[in-house]
Amino acid sequence: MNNHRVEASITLAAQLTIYQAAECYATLSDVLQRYSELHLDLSAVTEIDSAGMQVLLQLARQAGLEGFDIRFLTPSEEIAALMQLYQLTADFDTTTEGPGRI
Amino acid sequence: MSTMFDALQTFMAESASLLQEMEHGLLIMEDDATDKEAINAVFRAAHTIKGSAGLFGLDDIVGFTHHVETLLDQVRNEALVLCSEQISLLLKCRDHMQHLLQLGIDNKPLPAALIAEGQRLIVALAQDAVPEVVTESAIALAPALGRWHLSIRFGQDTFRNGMEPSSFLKYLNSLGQITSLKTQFMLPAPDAVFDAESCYLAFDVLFNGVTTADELEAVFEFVRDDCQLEIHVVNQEQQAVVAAVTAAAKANDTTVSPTANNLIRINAEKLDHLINLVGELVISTAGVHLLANRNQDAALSEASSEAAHLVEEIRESAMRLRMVEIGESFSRFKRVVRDLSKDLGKDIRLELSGEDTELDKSIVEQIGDPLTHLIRNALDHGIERSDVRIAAGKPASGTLKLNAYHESLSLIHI
Repeated sequence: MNNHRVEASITLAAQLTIYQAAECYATLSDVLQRYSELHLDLSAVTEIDSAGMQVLLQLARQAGLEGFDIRFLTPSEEIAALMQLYQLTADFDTTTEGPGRI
Repeated sequence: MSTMFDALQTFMAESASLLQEMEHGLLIMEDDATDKEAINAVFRAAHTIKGSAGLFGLDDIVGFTHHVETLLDQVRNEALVLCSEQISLLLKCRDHMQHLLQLGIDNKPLPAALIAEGQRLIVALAQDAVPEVVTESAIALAPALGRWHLSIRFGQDTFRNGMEPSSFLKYLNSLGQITSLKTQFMLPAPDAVFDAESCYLAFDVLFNGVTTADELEAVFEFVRDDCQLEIHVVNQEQQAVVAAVTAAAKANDTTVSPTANNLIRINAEKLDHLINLVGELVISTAGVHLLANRNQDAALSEASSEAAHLVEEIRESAMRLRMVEIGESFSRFKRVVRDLSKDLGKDIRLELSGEDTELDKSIVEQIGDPLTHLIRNALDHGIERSDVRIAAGKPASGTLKLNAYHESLSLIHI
């Protein structure tokens, strides 16, 4: 737990919707407990709904509260479009280099 | 996503029946252009189709139907009484909507000819609409370019009810322009456990558009029972709270349309399965009865014939489930007769009787096309043109009678 800068990179699968939300959240929040830096590759997600987006929001919020670093890398077109609609682009750290925001 | 597909199927079935209602209403209006009930039914059909299409992102339909709805709204507000040509136009618009819906559901691009047809219809609709005359009392209701502030807090069960908040925002955007949007993601309490299937989203939206508070409220019709919605005008002549609608306030305001069909939709497969089972049941009850008789057990024999009697009644009710009134397919002929008599320059009245005669659904479907053909032939060859009829000393208008009754279905023309 106390390891400093232990990174995990995870690529999310194609679907991130209400059907996967609970399982996806359980897995990722579990990962967040064990690593201090989490890189989520979002390039393969071709289907996302508001429930899926909410999981990402909750992970970002949780990371902020607990002092982890979470990056949302290479969002797919679909994710970018929903982020754009919800005007959330600024809420997610999508930078690959340098120190995180937290 | 399968639920989306299911929802689309439901939407398709509903729009088909709404289009039917619309046609029916328009044909009634052709006889009596001021029939309030028909006008409302037509308006409601167009309005509902537009609203649901918006949820599915079928923008072509929303765009086109909006023009139809605008004209119908004027009719409804008694600003306009439709003449026969305008009803013809609206019938064409209805057909156009049907085409658009079909293409939209199949997710196919619009052919150029259809786009051109749509443009032509829109221009024709605009010519018929009365120019906006804003009377003092109408100011509050008339659509005006305004800046609106909407605050929407979706209920926790939104996702579980199969609703997608972004669909509503996209639909809203099709009515005007969302200039600013702030998404709030908030658990009910800071230490509450996050449930990935609950919705914690709320939105503050600034919106520019030519619309009314009612229209904006209608965007959220499908989630209104479990969302909190507030709509304010930010920037119009007078700054006023137009509508503050909460789920609680709306709960006791359930207006049911007077002609709401008292029907439920059932999957045909389920029905067939039920009928098959009943068939099996009839056979096995007969078997029990036979055994009871063979064993000469009087009490059992009596009990089993009682059961057989009940099963027979069940069988009859089950068969009756498949029966539909022929009236619905009759009403389709009103349109056929109307269009054809205009084309042929003949004056023909259609008389229907026995619309409530019930037939098996598959038979009703199968006789539809041959009947249409018979009617076309009858109109084409059986009735002379008005001038010829007058010359022959007959009344100018001919009558086609359709009568349905049991034992046989007869079709008489004069």
